[in-house]
Amino acid sequence: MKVTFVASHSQAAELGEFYNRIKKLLDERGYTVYSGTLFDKKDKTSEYTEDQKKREEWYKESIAKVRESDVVVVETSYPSTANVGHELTYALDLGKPVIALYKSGRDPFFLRGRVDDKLTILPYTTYDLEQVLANAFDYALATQDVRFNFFISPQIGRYLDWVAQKKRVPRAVFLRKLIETEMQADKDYEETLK
Amino acid sequence: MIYVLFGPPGVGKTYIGGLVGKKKDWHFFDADTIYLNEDELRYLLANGKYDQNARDSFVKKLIMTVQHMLSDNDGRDLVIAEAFTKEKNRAEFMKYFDGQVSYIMIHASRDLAFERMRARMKKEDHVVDEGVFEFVWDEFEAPRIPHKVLRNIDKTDNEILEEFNNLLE
Repeated sequence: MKVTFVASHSQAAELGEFYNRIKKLLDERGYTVYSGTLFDKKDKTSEYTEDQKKREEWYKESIAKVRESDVVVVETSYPSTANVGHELTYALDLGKPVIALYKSGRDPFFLRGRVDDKLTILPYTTYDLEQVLANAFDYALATQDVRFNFFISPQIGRYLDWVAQKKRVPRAVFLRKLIETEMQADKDYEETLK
Repeated sequence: MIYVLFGPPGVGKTYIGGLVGKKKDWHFFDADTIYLNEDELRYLLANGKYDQNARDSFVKKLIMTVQHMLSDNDGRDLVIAEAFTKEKNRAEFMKYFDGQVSYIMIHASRDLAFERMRARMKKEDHVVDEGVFEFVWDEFEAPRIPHKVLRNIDKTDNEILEEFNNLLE
């Protein structure tokens, strides 16, 4: 899964420890993480802020990465609109799930009132950042799911009941897994995605 | 199997869920994640207007999340922390997951739970303040659904884990 991580560069001195912990967790979960120049040394970042051409390159690359991402994670403790706010809104406009985290007590008031199923806003503390981020992914990805009802024969019904009892897997989870397995093995479908 | 740690605020559901999740390498989901993200549910809860419709809407979101997690984790065991105030919602959740749910009620006295809630409020913003605490404790229905009880009073982490393991047996 591709994840873009966005945070305010100007707050790196105060919130850098949390940026590192977020990045570490995303890496540990096996995601491909793009964080732009967030973790570059200060003298390297200043090249981007002082040179107009580099600024443009930086912006274009950031926007391209948001477009490619499956999920965008944003640290929103500081109301930085030009970078953080813009990329967050851009991701939502593209229909990407966005996880906006903020340090408890620093509510991102600029996001309140934005009603969007794809936006998950959660506070974290020093003690629970990793747990909050893991749960934010569970919830943000689940909210992308759609409901689908269909009729089945009594024979299929009996088989699904047997699966639930003997294999101890809920019927809905079993069916979902069957479709996922079929989908992954379907080369024709894979071709259409290219 | 889905292990649901339930009970009113302050009894230690989230703490024990995190502990068990880490120790057993099970995926842990704290259902407060849903409240914390949903302005409307938080507003209703904070103003004593959290009715059965709101509960049903919440449980739908919880079911959706848990199903997604089960699929992502190849059906491996999960642990969930959620108050589950009403019997109707406990039964609905159990039915949706075809009985593959084990309910464990976390027990502590109301006074002790209140102290814990106040201590937590000093550390962080939390959906449960004093008003919400009293509201949920008053609304909490004694469970009739099959369940086990874990007493969380003056126990060390090891003692909690030992009792949890005993309950599984």
